[in-house]
Amino acid sequence: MSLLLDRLLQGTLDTLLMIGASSAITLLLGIPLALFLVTSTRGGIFEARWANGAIGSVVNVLRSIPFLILMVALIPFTRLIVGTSYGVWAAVVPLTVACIPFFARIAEVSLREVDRGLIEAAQAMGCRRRHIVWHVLLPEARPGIVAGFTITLVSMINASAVAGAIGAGGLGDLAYRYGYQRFDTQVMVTVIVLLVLLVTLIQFGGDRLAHALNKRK
Amino acid sequence: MSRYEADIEQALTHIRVEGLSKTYRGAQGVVRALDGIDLSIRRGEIFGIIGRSGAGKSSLIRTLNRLEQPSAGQVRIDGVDLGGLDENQLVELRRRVGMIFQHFNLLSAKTVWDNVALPLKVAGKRPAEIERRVAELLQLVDLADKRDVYPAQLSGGQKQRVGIARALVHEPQILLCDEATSALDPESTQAILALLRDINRRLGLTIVLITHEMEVIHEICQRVVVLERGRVVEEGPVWQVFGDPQHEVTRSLLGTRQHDLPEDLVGRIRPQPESERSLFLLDLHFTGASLREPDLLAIGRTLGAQARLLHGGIDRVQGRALGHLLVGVHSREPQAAILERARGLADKVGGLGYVTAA
Repeated sequence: MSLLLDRLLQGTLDTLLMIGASSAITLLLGIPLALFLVTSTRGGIFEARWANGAIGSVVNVLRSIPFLILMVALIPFTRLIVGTSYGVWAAVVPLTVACIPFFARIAEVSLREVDRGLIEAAQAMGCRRRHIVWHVLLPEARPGIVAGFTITLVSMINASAVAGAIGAGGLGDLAYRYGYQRFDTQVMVTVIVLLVLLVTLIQFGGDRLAHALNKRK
Repeated sequence: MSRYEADIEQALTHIRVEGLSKTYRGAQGVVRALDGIDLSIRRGEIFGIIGRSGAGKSSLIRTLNRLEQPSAGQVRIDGVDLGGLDENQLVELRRRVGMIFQHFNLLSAKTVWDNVALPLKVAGKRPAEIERRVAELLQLVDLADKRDVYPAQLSGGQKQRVGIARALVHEPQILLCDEATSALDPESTQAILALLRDINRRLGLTIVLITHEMEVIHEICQRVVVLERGRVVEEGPVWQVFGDPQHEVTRSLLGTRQHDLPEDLVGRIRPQPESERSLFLLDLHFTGASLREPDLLAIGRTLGAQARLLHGGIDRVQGRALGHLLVGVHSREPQAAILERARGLADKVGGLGYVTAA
């Protein structure tokens, strides 16, 4: 019993580590990507339509590959980066690669919804383009970006369970080995409860934060 | 114009627009938003640009701080051609030209204070200077108590005052107003116009505003141009354009300010008197050109005891009495004789025909 508890604890920690590392990288790279997608379109402040089309296509391709297949396909790349294709850190690579385009597209929508009049006003007051990004686009889109990041986190938890199935560790791994391979319903149910708890907590926190950041009410 | 007058004109001119055109490639081919505009805006005046929607007002005002790039022609501020500025110079220019907007365009995620401070912050001013300047401006627009409030909690009029504070924070010499009162209720409109007038007087700012409301022009402008399909169709001092509009668009924009003939009279006007009781309709038009005011005693004496005031009204614009008085004259004299006698009563005198009293 205590062994099982140990495993559950270890699994939860692994999952949190996987999600934590992947989400940090996703946030760090996803927002610049979203900014690029928004500002480089036609009429954008850093117009570069050709590059926009190219990067946009890459994003679309990555978004359309099912996670399980992406993960397998990325194994050589994962090895190159973390030196192994097994364990928590090996899962971070495909999770990040899958979630960055996902998050970037959601953040892009929020950034695109920033009123053009605000950008115009910023230009009229003598803002340079980087000022517009920093003082107008990002703060105005912040509530939407936070909500989008919450969605991304939840689907990342989902994907991390899938990653567990090929030996990444974490709660998904636990559920797969005990629940699926050994028909141990108790472990399965416990894992499900933990995942539900985790998702609920993240969703609740994300909603609260997005609400607090929204000054448009 | 003599050489001397030309020099004076040059010295007075703050913004000069020459041969300005703007064409867009739209869905239905090429659209001419602006078509050969020439303007001179003088230092310290409040200059109005009026027109119906789609006349090109927005494009025109945006060429003055180059938010809009003209397709041809020049805009010169203090003699400097905006077309030749690089990005750094453009940023510098925009700090000398404030702008306010119809929908205020305040940043929703920043407080009133941060909104007003932003132009200074991005210009790299010291915190102490920012603090002093923002406090000063919030004082000026009477919003000192709202400094930590977000724009969503303000009324329309208050938002526009924040917009004005933000536009003035760099101590600009020019303020551009893009339909600044069009989204406001009448009371807030009056308050904002009063504030703009006050700023113009106290700071000696040149104000250029675009609007589709003649009331706004009437309230605060000194000179006005009427824009239609990207062209200037009428221009002059406000009293002149109001007192004697030449273009059909101007008249339609003046709308109810014009004392048009009432329907019941229009239907009954005849070229010749129908009976002994017919009245000759005399239109006394005060254009403001002569600075004269309607002299009731003179009207009565000249036209005889049977003169009746049927319709009309006088507005005062820039200290001049403008408008039409429609007087019914009971007389058997020929029209020409009545018109000849009445000639001195107004700037323009015309006969409209006869009506028979009902």
